[in-house]
Amino acid sequence: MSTLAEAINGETVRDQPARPRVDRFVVGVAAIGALVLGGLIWQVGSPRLVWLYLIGGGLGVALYHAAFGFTAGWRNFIVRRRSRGLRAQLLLLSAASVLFIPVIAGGHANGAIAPVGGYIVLGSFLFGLGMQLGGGCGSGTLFTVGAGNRRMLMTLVAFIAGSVLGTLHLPWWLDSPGLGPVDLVASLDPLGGVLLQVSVLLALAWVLAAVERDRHGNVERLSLRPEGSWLQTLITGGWPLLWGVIALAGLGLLTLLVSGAPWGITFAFAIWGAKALGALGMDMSQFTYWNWPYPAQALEQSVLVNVTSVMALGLLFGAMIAAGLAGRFNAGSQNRLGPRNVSAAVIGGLCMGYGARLAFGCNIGAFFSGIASGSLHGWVWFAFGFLGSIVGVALRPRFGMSN
Amino acid sequence: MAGHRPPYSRLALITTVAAIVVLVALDYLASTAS
Repeated sequence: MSTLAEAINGETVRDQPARPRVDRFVVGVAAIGALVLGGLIWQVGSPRLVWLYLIGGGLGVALYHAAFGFTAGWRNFIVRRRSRGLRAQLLLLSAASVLFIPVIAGGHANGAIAPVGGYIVLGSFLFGLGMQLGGGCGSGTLFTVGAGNRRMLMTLVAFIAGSVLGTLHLPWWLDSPGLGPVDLVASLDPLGGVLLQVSVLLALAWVLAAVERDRHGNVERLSLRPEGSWLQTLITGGWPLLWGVIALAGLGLLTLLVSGAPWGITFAFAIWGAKALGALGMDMSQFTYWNWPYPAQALEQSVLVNVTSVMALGLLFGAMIAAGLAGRFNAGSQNRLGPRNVSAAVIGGLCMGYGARLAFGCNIGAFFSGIASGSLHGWVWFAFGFLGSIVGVALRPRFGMSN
Repeated sequence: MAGHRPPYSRLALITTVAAIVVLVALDYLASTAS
């Protein structure tokens, strides 16, 4: 029997924002897969690798629940002059600089210090362009694939292919002239390095906010307060961006302390691709890169003992579990994929993979970890990656992608 | 009110997760054989 009260309640309920419903099937299947993989890492690797796998899982949850996308943050500023996402990234870099530099300067871990040269310029430009066409960066591609996005799976496959291609050409690129590694912390001192970096990052955030205010008359705030209850938001997602900043900075520090090096992602893609080619019969030892000690060892050993791979797998499953908790698994796959859209995914993935090898990493390994380590290459990556993104954003409509 | 849950194939999800685990295990076996 329909009553007035029910009608009123119905209206009231309809006016409320839809609460996510946990998808137990997704959470269950992902948790079982994650547990089996964790068990294998425990058996084959070491407790340290299991910790890194769990940290990777935490990063996947944080990236998904905070929707912490580097790509969309850059695009929002380029197209609409909305700077909230980009300011969150700068805040993350500031926090990571404060946390990382003393640890690295104290000799407790190695920084992500890489040489500066034309290869960084070209690689980061290609990466920035590719991430706009591909629809996600290094971390973004991985966490959206974990969340069931089939288009991003195409981007990931192309990303892996581009990574392997990059490894074949990298020795040739490294022969070109360059500055060599520039360690800003070693050039100054740890305190000076932290102060310089944080000052520049916060000044940049202030400029971005000023540009946004000039365009819109207001600035979108970075809030700590969730829309729903704190506990429900923590579990089922919709995190304020600042929660993502705190989680990523904290888990980034844990990665540094446990692994002895900052977080990276795309080297894993190169290994996975090279292993796939090896399984198909290709002799990877004919290529210079795969004779270098670290890549050669990583190629020979199981992915279960490779830090970058273990963390990437953890991130994938973490994002899958998070998408299940949010009841949004596969939400990114609801639009029909046309040839132009698929082309953009493939071109974007190839550009990102190739670019990441040339630039000594992606938005995580070079941009986040490089800047947080006080390496000049991270800053060069930022500048030219952003330029590449401007071109990528301009190209998106040609592939039927909206901005 | 519960939010709309996007459709997906349960079989595809199980297959994907199983494929990841199997590929990693095969890679481990290959690394011990070499």
